[in-house]
This record gives sequence, C-alpha cells and structure tokens, in this order.
Amino acid sequence: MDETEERIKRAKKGDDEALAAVLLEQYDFVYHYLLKLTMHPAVAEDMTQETMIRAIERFKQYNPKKAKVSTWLIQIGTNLWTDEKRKEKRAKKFTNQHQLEWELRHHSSDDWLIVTSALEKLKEIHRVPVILKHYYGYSYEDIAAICKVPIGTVKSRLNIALKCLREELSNEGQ
Amino acid sequence: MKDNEVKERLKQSLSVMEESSPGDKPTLNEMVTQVKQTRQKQKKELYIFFIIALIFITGIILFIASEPLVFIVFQAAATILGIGFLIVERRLQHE
Repeated sequence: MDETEERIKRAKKGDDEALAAVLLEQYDFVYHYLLKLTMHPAVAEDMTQETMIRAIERFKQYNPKKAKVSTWLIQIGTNLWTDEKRKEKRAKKFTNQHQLEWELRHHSSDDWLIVTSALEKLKEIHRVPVILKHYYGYSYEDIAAICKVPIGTVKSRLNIALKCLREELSNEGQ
Repeated sequence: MKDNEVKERLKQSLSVMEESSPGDKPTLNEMVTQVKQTRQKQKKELYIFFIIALIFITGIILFIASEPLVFIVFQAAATILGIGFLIVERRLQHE
C-alpha cells in the first residue's frame, strides 16, 4: 500500500490531518484542470477551494475502489463548474483572456493563446470531454462517469468538439 | 488541418497552463483547519436540521391530537390540489 492509499484509509476513518494531506496533494492538479476549463485563474482558484470543501463534506461517499481520488475531485470540480455556468454567475468573459495572458506573460509562444481562445468558444459540454480526453488521456468510460452521460454521447461530443476546433484553428491560420 | 495536428496543438497549448500556480494555495495547517471547520459546520447544520424536524413533527402531532378532523380535511385538500396541479401541468405540456 502506497502513502496516498494509507492516507486515504486514515482519512476515511476520520483523521483530519490525513484528509488535509490527501486534498493538498491534489490541489495543483485540480487547479490546473479548472484553469483549463474556466480559462480564468481567479475563478479556477475559487472553484478549487469550493471543490476541496465539497470533497471534505462528501469524503465519506468516496469509494477508492471505484475511482482515483484525482478523478473523484475532477468530477466534483466539473459539476461545480457546470452548475456555475448554469447559474451564469461568473460570466465575466472579457477579463479572462487578459488575466491568463498576464499570468503567463513570460511564455514565448502565443500559439497557446490561439488554441485556448478556440477552446473557450466551445460549449462547456464539449470543452470538458476534449480536455479530459486529449490532455489528460482519460478513457471514454471515465469521461462518461465524470460527465454523467453515456459513452456514445461522450464520443459524439468529442467529434463535434474536434470539428469545431479544427475549423476555428484553420480560420485562425488564414 | 488534420485531427492529430489539432490534438497535438491542444495538448501543447494546454500544457502552458501547468506553469500557472494557485496564488492562494493553503498550507497543510490551513487545510487541516479547513477540514475541521467544514466538519464542525456540517455537524451544526445537522443539529439545526434535527431541531427543526423535531419542532415540525411535534407541531403536527399536537395538531392531530387537538384537531383531528381539521387535520384530515387539510390532508385531503392538499392531496386533491396536488393531483389537480399535476393534471393541469400535463395537459399544458401536451398542448
């Protein structure tokens, strides 16, 4: 049994420090995932903290046999983001790109700005699977579980997303 | 542009975001405090829920004991209203 599994076991028994350590270990991973979804560092930070609180509240429901803790946290984060989108509470699109640009201003290439801008134009139902599949390499089954949709829907959403990205990036090059 | 090229550009572009780090990342002690606070809040909410539920149930029991007929009339009226609402809603959906 590795250290993380041992911590999870202790956290399940109610050890606060073990739970804090498990969540802290995943903090950057969750933040980077949410940053890719939201394209907004401040929102990604807020949502990472909300994800952690939700995870603390529901840790008794987490089943290590079903999914890795990172996958479970991604599921919580995705749900939070989808809810937020639905409520349209955080629709400040204009500052997003600028803030992200500012945060990563030291980066030499600007191709990522073109690609992330194209990604931002995708609907959330398409953006989530494309990031999970083509960046994190999750299986169709895992994505279906995270997004709570059938595998067929995941595949069709991925096809649509890739088609849109292809068109968007081709236009960008012209 | 081919799909593989799109996927590759996507991967490379998104990897740039790994360079960003959360400015407000808590320390282990802060996270432990967060865990304790969240659990305390959960307990408090659970107690409040039980107290409200207890008050509500006690009220209903007292009401049944003192005015059984009125209670039955209320129950019947609520049931009829509920069924009526469902029927109207379904008809509106079909139209």
